[in-house]
Amino acid sequence: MRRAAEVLQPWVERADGDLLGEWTVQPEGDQWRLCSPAQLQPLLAGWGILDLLPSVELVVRAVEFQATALAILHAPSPLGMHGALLAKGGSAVAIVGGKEAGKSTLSAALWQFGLDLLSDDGFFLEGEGLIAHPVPRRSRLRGTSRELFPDTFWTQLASQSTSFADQDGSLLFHPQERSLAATLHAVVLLSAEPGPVERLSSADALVDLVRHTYRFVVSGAPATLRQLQPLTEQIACYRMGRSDLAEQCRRIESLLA
Amino acid sequence: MSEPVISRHAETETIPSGERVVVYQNQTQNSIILNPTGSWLWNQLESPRSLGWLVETLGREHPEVDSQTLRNDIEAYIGEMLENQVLVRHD
Repeated sequence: MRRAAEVLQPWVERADGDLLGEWTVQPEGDQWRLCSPAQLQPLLAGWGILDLLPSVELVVRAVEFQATALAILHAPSPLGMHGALLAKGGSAVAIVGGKEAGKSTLSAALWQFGLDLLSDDGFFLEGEGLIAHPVPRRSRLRGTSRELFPDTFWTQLASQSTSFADQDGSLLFHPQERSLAATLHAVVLLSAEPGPVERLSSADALVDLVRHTYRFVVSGAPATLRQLQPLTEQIACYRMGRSDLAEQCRRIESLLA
Repeated sequence: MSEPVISRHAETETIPSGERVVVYQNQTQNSIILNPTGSWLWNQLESPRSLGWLVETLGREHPEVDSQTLRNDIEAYIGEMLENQVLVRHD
């Protein structure tokens, strides 16, 4: 449980005294029964999420996942996006993209490259859409990404007290540095197909980014398009095709210059 | 014979974006980005308009273009928007 408290500490830091939700865990035979907050029950039933788990590590991972869902439901800002958030000198770049576009791998590479990794999973925007608050869930690298990083990097991450190496080869880890917020400078829509970086018109950015917002699922497209519209007018948005990791890092860093 | 009247489809939402207009069709769940001419046309269609009215109005803004060319261009554009179910034609 001490390890669980360590993993979830960033959530506590952000809660600012408000309770996001309450989970209880009880042993049941050689497994663990997780009781989740009532407001999540309908969602969890729909997602087919298990509440009887074989290890505390999986319980903690489930709580992290559910806490993210609660954060989305109760976010003070209605505009949140599924994607990575990295920063340099207080300026942030968001990286969004479809499943397996390579967001987490690129985020970890950028972290190695010297940027602060604030989240590889999601963030909320407040005010005029310029201040981004990362979701404090652990970052996740797939096992297939391992060969893209030096062994020492992977071993170091895996040895952190809050890391978790899953059976599927993936690795959950907290980046060392934590930041509560950063000013959003650019949004990059990452494509799994090879290609250059190109600036998007505000209309193209609006249509392409809407499906990566949390609100899209809850409120539908028209309301979300209206919510997102000021952001795409103010922030430079780019589409970036895949290239080798070092080149992708250079491209992202140049956008923050 | 009177000219057909063109109007916006009732199931559309308009989201201005820069110099363009994004139109969302609630039934097809598609977003369409209109080019500057399409955005101009869309803005004129806040009320239903006849094809002749649209040709005449665009002609006043572009006196250098002959009216037949304008009519052909507008008809082609309206045809695309009808296919995308963001406009309705009333004959």
